[in-house]
Amino acid sequence: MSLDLNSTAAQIESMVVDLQARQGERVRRVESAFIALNEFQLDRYLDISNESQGGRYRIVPEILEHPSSVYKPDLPPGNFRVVSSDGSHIEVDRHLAVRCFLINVGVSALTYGDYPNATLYSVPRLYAAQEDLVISEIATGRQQSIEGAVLGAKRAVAEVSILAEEASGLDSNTPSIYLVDGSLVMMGLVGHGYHDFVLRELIEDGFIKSMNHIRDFSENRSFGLASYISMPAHSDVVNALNVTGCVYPIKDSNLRCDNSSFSTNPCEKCISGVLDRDIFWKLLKPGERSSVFGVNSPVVENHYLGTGITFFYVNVGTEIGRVEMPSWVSDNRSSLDLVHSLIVDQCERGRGYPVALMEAHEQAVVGVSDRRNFVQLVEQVLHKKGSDVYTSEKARSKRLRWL
Amino acid sequence: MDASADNGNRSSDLVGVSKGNYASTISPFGEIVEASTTYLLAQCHRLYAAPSLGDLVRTEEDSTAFSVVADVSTKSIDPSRRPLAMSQGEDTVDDIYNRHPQISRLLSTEISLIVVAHKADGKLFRYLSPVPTKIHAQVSICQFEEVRELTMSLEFLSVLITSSVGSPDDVVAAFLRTASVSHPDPKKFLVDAGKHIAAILAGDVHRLNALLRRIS
Repeated sequence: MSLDLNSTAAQIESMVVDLQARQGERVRRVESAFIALNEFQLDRYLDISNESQGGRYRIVPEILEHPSSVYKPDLPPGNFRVVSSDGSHIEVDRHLAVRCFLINVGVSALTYGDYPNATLYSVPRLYAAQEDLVISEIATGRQQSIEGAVLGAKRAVAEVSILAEEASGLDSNTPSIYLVDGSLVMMGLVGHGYHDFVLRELIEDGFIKSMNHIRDFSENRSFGLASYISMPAHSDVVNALNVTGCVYPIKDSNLRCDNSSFSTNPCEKCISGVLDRDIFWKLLKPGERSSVFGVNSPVVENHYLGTGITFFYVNVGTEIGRVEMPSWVSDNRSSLDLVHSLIVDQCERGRGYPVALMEAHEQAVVGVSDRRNFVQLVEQVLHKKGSDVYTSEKARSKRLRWL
Repeated sequence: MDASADNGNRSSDLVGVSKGNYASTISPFGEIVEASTTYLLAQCHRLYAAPSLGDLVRTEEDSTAFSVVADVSTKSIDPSRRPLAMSQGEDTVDDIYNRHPQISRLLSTEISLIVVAHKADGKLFRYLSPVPTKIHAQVSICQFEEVRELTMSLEFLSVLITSSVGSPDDVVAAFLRTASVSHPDPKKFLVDAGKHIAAILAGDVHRLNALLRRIS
C-alpha cells in the first residue's frame, strides 16, 4: 500500500494553520533580532564570553568584529579553478549475505577562463575486510564498528582526502578553491560516547590530516578550502545576540525561551527561535558576505590540532548560505576574498547553489536502483565463486512482495 | 579535453576529408552502445563530432559492418537531467559552453545507423551480417574508395527506404548525393539510383517523385 495521502493531507492542513498562527510572532522576533544585530555591543559580548570561558555558553561563536559588518565580493580572477567532492554510501546491511559497506566519492574539477575544462568522476570503494569494518585501538584491543554516525564521518574523511589528492596534482598557479558540502565541524560524532581513539583516527589522523595536506600543497598559491551549507539552520549569531540582549539572567534564558517554536513569549524582545539566516537575509544584499565568526565547539578545540573553524554568511541571490573554512584560510585575507568571490560566482552559475558541488553530488549519488544492483552484484559474485548466498527472511519478503 | 574544442562540429572535424564527406584516413569518431543485426546506436567520442545524415560508416571487429547514418541526436547522458536554457542576453552558444564547462561532459551526441552491408574474409556482401556488431566496437567514417565499392550496386537501397529510423527519404537522398561524388560520373550514378528507387516505390508515385526531387 502506498501512503494514505487523504489522511496525511488533513494533518498537513492543520500544520499549516498552526504555522500561520505563529507567523506574526516570528516576524516580530526576526525584526527584534535584526535590531539587536545592529545595536550589538561587541565589548560587552567579549566581556561575557571571557567570563564564561570553559563554562556553559560554548554554543555562541567567537566574534572578532561587529556582526553587522558587510563585505562586497571581489570580481573573480580571469582564470580560476573550483574543485568539489561529495560522498554517498551504502550502509552495512545485516540482511545482506556479506558484511560490507561502500563509500562513493564524486569529484568535479571545473576550470574557468581562457581554457575552460571540466573533469567529473567518482571513486567507489568497498570495505569488506574484517579490519576495514572497524576502528581498532591496538593498545587496548577496543574496537568500534563503522556504521551510522561513524560511517558518516568516515565518508567526510574520504571526501576531504580526495580533495587533498586533487590538490597534490595541481601543477599551475591558477587561483583555486576546494569545496565540500556541509559542515567542517564533525558534530555527528559528538554526544554519542565514542571513545577517544575513534575521534583520533577519524578527525585528527583523517579529516584534519587531509585538510593540512591541502594547506601544505597550497602554500604560496592563491587558494582556498571551504564547505558550503545551503539553507543553514544554525543560530550561533542569534545566540550571541541573546547573550547580550536577553532581559533574563543568562542562566535562566535557555530555560524560559522556547528555541524550537514561537508559541511562548517570555519577554518583549525575545529572539529565540530566530535563525542566523533570517537576520542575514535582511542585512546582506546579493553577493555580500557577513563578517567572519569563529566556531566555539569542544570537538574543534580538542581534536582539530590547533586549526580553528570559521564561518561567514553570504547572500547568493536566492538564499543565505553558510561558508565554513579552516582558520588558515580566513586568516589570509586574499584567500578569504577568493572563497567569497568564487562561491558567489559558483552560485550564480549554478542557479543558487555552487555548480561544482552540484556536479560532485551527481557523480556521488547512489540511487535506489544502484543499491539494488549492488546487492544483486554481491550475490551474483558470491554465487559464482561457490559461496553460500543467504539473506534474511525479512529482506526476501520485501523482494517477493507476494499476495 | 578542452571544452570549447568539444563544441566543434561536423564530420570535417573528425577526419581528413578528401571528397564529399568521406575520409582519406580512418579515424574512429565513436563507439557502438546498442546493437542488433539491423540497427546500431553509436555514441560520439566528442560532443557534436558526428558524421552527417546519410554518410556511410564502418564498424571494425571480426568482420566489417557498413551502415548509413539515419539520425543524429545530442542529449543529456542522464535521462533524469534535462538541459535548461542558459543564455544571458547576448550570449553565443560558445559563451555558454565556456561559462559552464561541465555541460560538454554531461551531453552526448549519438547517431542511429542502419546496417546495409558487411565484409568478411575480404569479400563484400550487400546484405546484413548474420551476427550483430559488438557493443563498444569503434565506428569510423568510410574511406572514399569503400563508398564507391559499396555503391557499385544499389541492391541494399530497399533496406534504407523501408527503414523506420529517422526520416528514410531524407536519409536515402543524403546518402546518394554524397555517394555520387565517389563515382567518375556522379550524374549517371544518380540516374541509375533513381531507376532503382522507381522499381522499389512503383506503387507510391507521390513518394517516388518527392524522393527523386531530393536527389536531382
